[in-house]
Amino acid sequence: MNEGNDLTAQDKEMLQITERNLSLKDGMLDQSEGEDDRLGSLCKQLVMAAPQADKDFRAELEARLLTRLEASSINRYGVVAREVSGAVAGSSARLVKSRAWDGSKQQVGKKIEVLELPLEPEEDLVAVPLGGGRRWRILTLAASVVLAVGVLTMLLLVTVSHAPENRVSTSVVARVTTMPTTIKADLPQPSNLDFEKGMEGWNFNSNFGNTPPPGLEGGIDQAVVHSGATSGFIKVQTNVNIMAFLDHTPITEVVAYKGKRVRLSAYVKTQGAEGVNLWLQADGSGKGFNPLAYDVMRGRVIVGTSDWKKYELVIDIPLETASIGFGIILTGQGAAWLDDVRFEAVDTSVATTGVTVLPQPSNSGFGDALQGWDCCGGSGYAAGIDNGVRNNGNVSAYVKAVGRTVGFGNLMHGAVTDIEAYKGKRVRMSAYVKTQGVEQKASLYVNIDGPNYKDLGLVAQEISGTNDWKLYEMVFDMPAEAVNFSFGVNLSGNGQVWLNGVHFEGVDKTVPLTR
Amino acid sequence: MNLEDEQALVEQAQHDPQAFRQLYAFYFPKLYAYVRYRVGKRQDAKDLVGETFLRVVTELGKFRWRADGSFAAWLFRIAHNLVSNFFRQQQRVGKNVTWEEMGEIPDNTLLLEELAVQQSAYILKLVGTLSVRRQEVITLKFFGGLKNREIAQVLGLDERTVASHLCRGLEDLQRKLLAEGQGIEMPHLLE
Repeated sequence: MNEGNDLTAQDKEMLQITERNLSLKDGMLDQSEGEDDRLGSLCKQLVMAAPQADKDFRAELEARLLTRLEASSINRYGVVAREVSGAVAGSSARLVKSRAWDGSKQQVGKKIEVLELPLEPEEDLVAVPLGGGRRWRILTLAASVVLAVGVLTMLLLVTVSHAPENRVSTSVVARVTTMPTTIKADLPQPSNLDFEKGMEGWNFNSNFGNTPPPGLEGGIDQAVVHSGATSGFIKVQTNVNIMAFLDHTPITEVVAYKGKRVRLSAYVKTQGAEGVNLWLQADGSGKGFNPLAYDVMRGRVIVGTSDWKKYELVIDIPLETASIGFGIILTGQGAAWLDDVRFEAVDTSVATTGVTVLPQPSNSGFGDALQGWDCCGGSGYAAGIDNGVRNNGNVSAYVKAVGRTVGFGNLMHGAVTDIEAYKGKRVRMSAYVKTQGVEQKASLYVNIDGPNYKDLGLVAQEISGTNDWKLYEMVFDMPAEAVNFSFGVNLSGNGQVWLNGVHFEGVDKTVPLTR
Repeated sequence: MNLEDEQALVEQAQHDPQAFRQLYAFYFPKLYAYVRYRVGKRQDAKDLVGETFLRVVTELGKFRWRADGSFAAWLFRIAHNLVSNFFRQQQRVGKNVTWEEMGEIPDNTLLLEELAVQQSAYILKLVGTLSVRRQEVITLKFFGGLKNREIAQVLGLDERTVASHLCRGLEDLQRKLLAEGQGIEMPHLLE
């Protein structure tokens, strides 16, 4: 190991010359020659010979790291401990409170202090249900924290006692004396997720707004509950076309949620319901509706009568999220009860159940006639906008045979859009298609182009005969090397095909690909 | 970047993306050069550099500043270990890069740049003739910009041993350059 480590005077001089010639500033060579020009020049040549990375890789990696850093900062500095649910103001109970650690740099290097405080309702504390039982309970939570190289230790011990008349009693001993680098905290919970505080934080409404029809009810129910004393409910006993909502005030303190995969769980009971769905949505900033990711239980709508059952919605909360909304919707007649909603962060082994919103190609809904679309292909075909054949009130575009056909007629969108948002994602294209007298075939398709127009894949669904409007879906992976994609519908032979409502969204990798 | 700046930056970087950006901008080229030389292939280097920085982001909270340069030593130690694991997984011993692999010359390169690339590739080829340990010391020194003390921390060696490897390695290189008639002066490239 110590082979030849005796340094001669010449060695020492060589080291000095080396250090002098390495006195680089920001990678620029010191152009002054040292006493030993040869050695100095060799040092410079060695520095210049350093392999260099391409800028794209450097930038891509930087972006990836910053995203990871932001997410891990949030993880490390989530709120450490919280109010105990069902706390009664003025009781002698005590609760744990942490300072709000949001990762801001002012907090860097300081200590966390977990304080013992008298129980008082405070806005910066959030509720974590601990069971809500009416008997004496003792819950001991011990959280040991992973330590940095033999130095850091934290032990948080919380003992909570519940008495029937004085439902919460908490004693806490915890003082964190090190950086909270590995503390893992649950997500801060919005208030009153179990309706124990009545309708506080919840809003009941319907598509009739301020003039609800007779037979529409919503609020809290003290007779039908999953736990505790109350639940939220919606009841519709009228034939009118109605959608009723029981929504929570959106979460606007989203820092602890950003960059995480979040699971909303809730207990729902239904009775004679035509359709019930929970919803969860991450919205960006700006006015109005700006969804970034959402789950509305598409394909999992609860119908009919069912006892209390736990349902789960999982979405990724993008870093640009400004608020998170959630609630329950009853469509048509019936009744639905909601209780014990909870948020938690999950890892990526848990599949998302919702979708990620992607930027849509321009004029994919034909609002600007055929702008952005091309009509190409064989002869004997025509394409255009059909104001008479609509779907969900929207105009459609068509391709039809108008004479002796040769080849196929194609209605294609060039899809010049923000493809960066699509890259690496599993994408679902959905579109409504209607056909009439298609003798050979009509195809709904998406085609992916790589650099130099290299074909990276074609996904298509073939339709023939006469069919009313129907939603078709195709799922494909958008390769990282994709530079563009096109989509549309084409027709071979006689007949006519209409297209409407083209939409793209990101889905979980567990959603099967269209073959 | 002076010591005071770096210590503050490292602590700040745990929460502040701007601080992390500065650290990344400073160390990325050095780390990439070291890893790329060690593993040779560009894609392998990208994977390992990416993995190194991801570990840095994940473990930054555990890093404790001890002395001048300890962050650089910590960073390159992670990379050094990953490279060693890489070779173990590949069931191969430190493969020397070839002139051809490192001296990639883009089509639109100017003549002087082309000459510089060729000269660099030639230097790298000569470095590749040294013992693996001396290659490590020289690449950590000249590509990574590490001090002898930091190199000693990365490689688990005594600082004097590092100095010795450095001197012997440089002497070897000088000798080989002179022996092969490649003048070490490159005025036409440096000006």
